[in-house]
Amino acid sequence: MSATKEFTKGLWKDNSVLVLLLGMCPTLAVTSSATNGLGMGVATMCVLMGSNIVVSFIRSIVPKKIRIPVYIVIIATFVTIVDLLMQAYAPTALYDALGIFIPLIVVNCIVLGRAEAFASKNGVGKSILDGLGMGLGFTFALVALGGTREFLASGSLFEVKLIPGWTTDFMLMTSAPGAFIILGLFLAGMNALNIRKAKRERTSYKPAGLDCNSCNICDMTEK
Amino acid sequence: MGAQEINIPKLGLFLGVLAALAAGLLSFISTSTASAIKLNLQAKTNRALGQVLPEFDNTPGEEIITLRSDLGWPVKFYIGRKSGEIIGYAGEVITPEGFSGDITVMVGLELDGSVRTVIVTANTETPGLGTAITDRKVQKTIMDLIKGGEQVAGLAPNTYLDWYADKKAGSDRWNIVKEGSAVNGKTGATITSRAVGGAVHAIGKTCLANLIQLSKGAE
Amino acid sequence: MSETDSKPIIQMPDPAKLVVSNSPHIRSGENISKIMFIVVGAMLPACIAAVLFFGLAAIKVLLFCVVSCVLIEEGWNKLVKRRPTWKDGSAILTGILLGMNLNAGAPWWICILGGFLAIILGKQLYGGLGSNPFNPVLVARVGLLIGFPELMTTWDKPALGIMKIDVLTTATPLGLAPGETFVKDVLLGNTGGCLGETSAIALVAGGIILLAFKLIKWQVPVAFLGSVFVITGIAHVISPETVHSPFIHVCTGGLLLGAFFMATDMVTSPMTRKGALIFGLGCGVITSVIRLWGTYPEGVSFAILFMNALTPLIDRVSISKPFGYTVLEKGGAV
Repeated sequence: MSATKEFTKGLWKDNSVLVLLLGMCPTLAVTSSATNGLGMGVATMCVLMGSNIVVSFIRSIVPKKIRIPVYIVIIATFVTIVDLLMQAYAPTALYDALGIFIPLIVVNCIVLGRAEAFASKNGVGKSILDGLGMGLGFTFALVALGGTREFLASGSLFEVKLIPGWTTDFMLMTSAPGAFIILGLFLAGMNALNIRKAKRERTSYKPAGLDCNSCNICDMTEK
Repeated sequence: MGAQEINIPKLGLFLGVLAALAAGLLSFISTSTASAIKLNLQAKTNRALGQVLPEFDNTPGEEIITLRSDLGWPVKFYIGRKSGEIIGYAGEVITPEGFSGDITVMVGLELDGSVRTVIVTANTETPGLGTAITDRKVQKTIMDLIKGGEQVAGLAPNTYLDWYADKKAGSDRWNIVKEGSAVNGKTGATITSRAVGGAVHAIGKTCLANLIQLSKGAE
Repeated sequence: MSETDSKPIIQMPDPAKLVVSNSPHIRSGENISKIMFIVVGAMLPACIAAVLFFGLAAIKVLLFCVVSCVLIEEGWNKLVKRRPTWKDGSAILTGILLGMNLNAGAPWWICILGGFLAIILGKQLYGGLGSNPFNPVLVARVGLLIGFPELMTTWDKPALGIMKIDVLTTATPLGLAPGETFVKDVLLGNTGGCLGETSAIALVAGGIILLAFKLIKWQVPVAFLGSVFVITGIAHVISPETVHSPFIHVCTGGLLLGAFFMATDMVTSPMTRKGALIFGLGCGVITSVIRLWGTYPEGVSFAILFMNALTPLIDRVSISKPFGYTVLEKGGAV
């Protein structure tokens, strides 16, 4: 795979949220506004790149038996660093909103997943690109979700009102059910796009998160 | 197991060294950010106090008198000073009368015990209903952004909380007014309105009853 | 949710030749529209009461809801290239029920948004009538309640016999402190609330019509109302000053509307009698818990939606053995 492909696959084709359905906890919990989504996405991206670099750097000397605890120690270290730095230098409102979800990046499947599946098998340069692409893809998904929810809730984006007359907030969108509804619609949209593409190219496509045996909505999948 | 032999001391040593390296790095980061974090936390308390008190130059978070209201609720009074002189009090009380749990109310008081500003620092009320009473929220519009200009300093208005400004607590609680131009309560959030009103009253009344003690400061 | 899952409790004669889905088993369009017609008829007493108490404003809201529901359904059918379905009457019924769940002073855009939530989010995204796991009207009501709590919990003050369009507002009786509500007003409908939940007598009359036509199982409303009565009764005895009397609890806040018209929805409630009993009890317990300790003053809609989600499971544990089927697992059939 070429270097550009390592970078771009995380953006769309293997997008961690919209295709792989990884890291659902921060995705659902903090995306009540575009700003929160951006903050969480960037924090996760920093951790992901840091851990990818270190894991890839020491990949030849890590004993196979204890690689998972080693990865966890590395990830936890980076998460704590990001947490402390944000506490010290990020805007208080952003840190308050993200709150306990920053420490929880430790258990974000994307970070451990990339360490295990990619960085432990590839060189530092490629791992940086992979971390950057995956992190950007994650950030993109979170900002898109947060932005959609914020806009549908109050007609604003990044806390700036775009539609002046909108006075009553549609609070469904900022609350937890809104997160599930919008994420569900996003995934449905993703699947619809991919099914259409597969039809055009006459290939089969298996939608993410669906058990094809129990569903006969589309006729695209191999039964 | 596999072909690979498990050498526990070696694995332990590897993990130990890694953990030690991580701990070293973290302790370095922790010490270098400690002062900034402490400043941030202090700024947070000061911001809440700064919203209800006139401009002060001491640290009111360190000068606290705790009194009991006539209902037995503990009321915390922060003393605001400017160049040594007391310029106002900030009373804080946690009322259990909220619709779904405790509401923490902070009230800035003048030296004569009349209410200056009311803010709600913590609540678990119904989003959109009870929180209409408790929240002060700034909303930027796109026009503000285009026009530029500086952010208006100070507190976002909240009709229901601003109703209490310049009032003095009597012996009984304030009635909840829901109609007209000046209101302190709202249909659909009657219980929250009552709880907030009760808390403001408790703070105001306790302050009036203990004005002499408060005017001496904490020491 | 096909019955040909990996390990069925009860084996069908020849699963390969039968396609059996969850209830209801629709055979023809004529049946649906007939059922819908009777349900609309059963709603009439409550509709009349709503118009009497809230005047022309009530008619306006009902009309808006029905029209927007039908238009949205047809728009969706056009979009996904399905045959028009408005003739089966389900969209009309959804519209009426939605209107009954709204405030007489509800603005027009609430009706349209509610219609969108009910038809698209509640029904069509799951595959249309019969495939929806949740009651569409309640999806819309809960969506609007969480979305616009202020609009959805400030109700218009009723004024008997005066045909007016503008209205005064008041809180729902459950939002008021105990002692502020009066039994007679609640019974007749002279109290704040959405269009369809105020008049207890009219709602019970509608419920009796449905029972007479055997369109609903008596187990659901009886278990639902009974469990709410008992639980709030115990709570009222323990602390009379913070909890309303059980009578008020049963007659207010959409409980009767929910118990007779929402919880009994054929698509989303269990098929068996035993299942219906479990369903009603579950609704009652959850409603009482939300009313007594929850953040929202009203819990009927949440409770029914929650039990809707459990309906496939309830059906599974309470399934009866039809003629000709073989029991594969011990204790599977009752």
